[in-house]
Amino acid sequence: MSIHEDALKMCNNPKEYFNNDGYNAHHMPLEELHAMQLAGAQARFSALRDQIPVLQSVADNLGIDKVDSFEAIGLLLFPHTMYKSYPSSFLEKSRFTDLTKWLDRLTAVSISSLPVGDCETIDEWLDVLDDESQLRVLHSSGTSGTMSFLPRTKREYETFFGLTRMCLLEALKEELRPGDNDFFHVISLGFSTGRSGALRAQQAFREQLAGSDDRYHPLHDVPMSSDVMYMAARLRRAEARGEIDSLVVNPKIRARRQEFEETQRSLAQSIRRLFDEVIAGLIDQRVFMVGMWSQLQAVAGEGLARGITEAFAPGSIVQGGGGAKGAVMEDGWEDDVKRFAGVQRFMNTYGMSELMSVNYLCEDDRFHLQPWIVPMILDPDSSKPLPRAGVQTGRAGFMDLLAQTYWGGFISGDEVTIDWLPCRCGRTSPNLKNDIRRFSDKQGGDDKINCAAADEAHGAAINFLASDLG
Amino acid sequence: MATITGAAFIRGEIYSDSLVTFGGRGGDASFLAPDPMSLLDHLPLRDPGALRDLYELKFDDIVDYLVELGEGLDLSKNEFVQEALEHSYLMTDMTPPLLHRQYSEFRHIFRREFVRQMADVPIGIPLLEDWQEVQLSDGRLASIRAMGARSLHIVAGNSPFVTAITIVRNAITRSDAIIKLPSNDPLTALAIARTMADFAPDHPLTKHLSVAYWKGGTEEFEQRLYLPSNLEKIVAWGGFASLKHVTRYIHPGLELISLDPKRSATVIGQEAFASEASMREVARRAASDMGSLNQLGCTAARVIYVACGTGIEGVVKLNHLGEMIYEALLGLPGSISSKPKRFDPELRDNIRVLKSFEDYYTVIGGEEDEGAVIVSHAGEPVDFHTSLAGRVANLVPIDKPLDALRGMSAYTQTIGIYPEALKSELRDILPLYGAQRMVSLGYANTGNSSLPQDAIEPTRRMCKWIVDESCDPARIPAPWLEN
Repeated sequence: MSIHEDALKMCNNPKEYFNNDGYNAHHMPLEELHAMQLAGAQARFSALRDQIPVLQSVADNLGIDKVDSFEAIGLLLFPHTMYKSYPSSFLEKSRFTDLTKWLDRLTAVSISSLPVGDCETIDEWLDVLDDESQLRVLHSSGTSGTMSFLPRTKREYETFFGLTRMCLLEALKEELRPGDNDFFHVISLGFSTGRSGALRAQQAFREQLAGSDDRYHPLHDVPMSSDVMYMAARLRRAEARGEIDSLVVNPKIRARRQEFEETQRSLAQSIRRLFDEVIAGLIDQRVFMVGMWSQLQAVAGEGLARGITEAFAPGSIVQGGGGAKGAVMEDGWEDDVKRFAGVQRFMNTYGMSELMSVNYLCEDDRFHLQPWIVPMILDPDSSKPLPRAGVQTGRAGFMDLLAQTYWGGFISGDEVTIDWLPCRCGRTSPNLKNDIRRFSDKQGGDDKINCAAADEAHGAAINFLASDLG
Repeated sequence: MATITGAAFIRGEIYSDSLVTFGGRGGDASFLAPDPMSLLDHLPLRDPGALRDLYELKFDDIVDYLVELGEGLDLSKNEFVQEALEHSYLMTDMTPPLLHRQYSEFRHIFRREFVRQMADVPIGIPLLEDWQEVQLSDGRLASIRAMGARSLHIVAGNSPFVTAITIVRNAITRSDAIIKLPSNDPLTALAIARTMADFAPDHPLTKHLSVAYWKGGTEEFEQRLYLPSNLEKIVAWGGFASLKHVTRYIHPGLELISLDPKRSATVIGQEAFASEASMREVARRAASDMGSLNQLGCTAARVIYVACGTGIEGVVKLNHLGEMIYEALLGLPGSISSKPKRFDPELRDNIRVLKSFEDYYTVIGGEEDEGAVIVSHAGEPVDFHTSLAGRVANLVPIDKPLDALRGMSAYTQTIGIYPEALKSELRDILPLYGAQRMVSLGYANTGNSSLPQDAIEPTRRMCKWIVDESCDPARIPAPWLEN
């Protein structure tokens, strides 16, 4: 089998290629991994170059017809803002036909003729896309004030979901690994359904780890509206930008006010409900609990306050990710989580909406990248790829080779340090130091004072003032 | 990485011991300065009575001193200034020709007529010089005087002019200033202070200026300095990152005068399209507003609203104007504007993205970080308009000038306007939505510090406004005699 065939097999069906054994995925010799990843990127590029209009335009502008080096991949990475490059009035004024045309340029799936003309809300628009196309578009949480939309397909999701157990087992010590027929009660510290990247991914836990809906327990047993998320994002931005006139709220959204208020009420009760109705029945059961750091901290705090320790059966797992996201984490919160749940290790992960799989933190405190994720660490000023050897710090770019219908290469806003040498844990996969931060968080930290306003600094200030004034 | 050795200057004395290293901006140089903790005993003017020496001066003495100082700051002769300029190349965001020009010109702030105007326009020299009597209708005779205060100035570092203006304002208000140096301009204030010590070591004005560096947010230092027993006013320019640290120290007795970070915009009426010549004129003026000082100032144009109409025809006209603005930008002299020293990589990415969506945006230039003009085809600014920098403007088509109101906010400062007549039409309305200064197109980055700034009068606010009331029971009913 040629390397190209091999690489395509790894990208299209990693589970089969690695024989459903994550050990194989994380113990490839580095040279072989480089060659496989390059061949994989080549295959994706040649298949998608003329299928995704924006990729075509970028490649035409650069005069690139084949990807024969990592430098070429570096040039083709999309800035993460690509997926929110639509004029903001498309969303503000419910111009979903225009928004669909915009999104059509970012995917190989043709969606320009979908009947979205009658859509008035984001939820309705995403309903049509879900029902009438192969796309299962995911959106960002909108922390920047606008929403990104990433056109992933149902099939891509299925491939990604299929890898869930292989990746999790690989990161666990052998004695803690569940057998093929062992399932978990999944406690997921979020909404029951929704279209954000994090919520779309919940299906993996639901299907692969819970195995059945009655073993799946969301913190908030209500769906999350994408429109509400977008409104919250706009409000935050209007505040941060000092915009004086108020936001215009879509009447259709206004009409759902009661529904949202109910959601709001149930959110306020959710942790108590989780303990009374869910956790009470799961004591000494095998549980997989997953959430953002701040939510895990809150649940552990409530549990310990109720005098509950070592709540779950041996073999239970707590998985977290996303960092603190602005929340204040208490000293020793991870220990609290472990003590409450009764697990030996807190499984920390690094991931983002643009990447399908998450990357687990190893026993030696390094995030190991899955082999179908090509790390592209860039010079923060010039955006040129740094050497693929030794230890390098820069802006993280990645190419997700699982993406078959949209371009998987993108530049993130994260500053990371990568080590290309094998880790002390024994894995040979490239790994990131557990010290990842947003470049935007660094701004303002250097004591430079200008009279010209910077948006990020304002956002930080508003948060500061809000927390200060209570 | 080069290391630059700085010092602190406290009321005539140079402090250059206990040096510690501070990271410079952008990694070109690091900066050595005295450990701020070692300065704490000397920095505050603990005895407010020590301001008395300033009242032995006549206003004309103050002006004479400042004029002499200005003459002494001549770049061709002053070694302190020459050295500061040389080292500042490594610390600043400006390109060498820009910074050189700023350094050659900041001494003009100290010209006699200018200094007098900076006192006379916002306050009135008589009020600074002596008590001014006012007979009030209730029969009382009041005397009002604008007196000085012990102040801390957290100055912006994007232009050395900011430091120079601060020193003039401090002198004319008979105040005591502690200037916290900005990390992007840690040398200008020190060079001026050294010049003062050189020609007038014992002069009260020399003795009421201090200059030091500490990293904004150094709590153990700031909480011991930012106290009403040490200071009465904090004048904080820009930088929410620094402002947010300051706000926690503000309470009765310690006032914050905040010159918050601002952004500026432009409104161009349809008259611009009257002829090819008028378009070219407008383009040159708009390029000057966006490009001067490499768009580093808060006054620089970023989003430019043009009343060309929002239809296809309008966008075609706007693209044409955009080409002209870009061409005019590249034609600006190097001492006014040049290819930026650093280009924000996020902004570069954002511009690159737009190039793939030609239906919605036209991007002119921006290939080599030289600057760019982005034409939005829809009547709205790009999503990242608050990050426009490094000579990047966003042209937005609108149907009528008032549609530009959508883009105004509490952070809007200057609005450059064309034609002149449009200014009088807009000036009663724009301020309601946040705009603070309206100026003829092309002059946004020029200014006069005797005028209000950021919708306040900083020099007036720097004063303590004191009254002495004389009341004669024969003319004003006496409370103690009422039954």
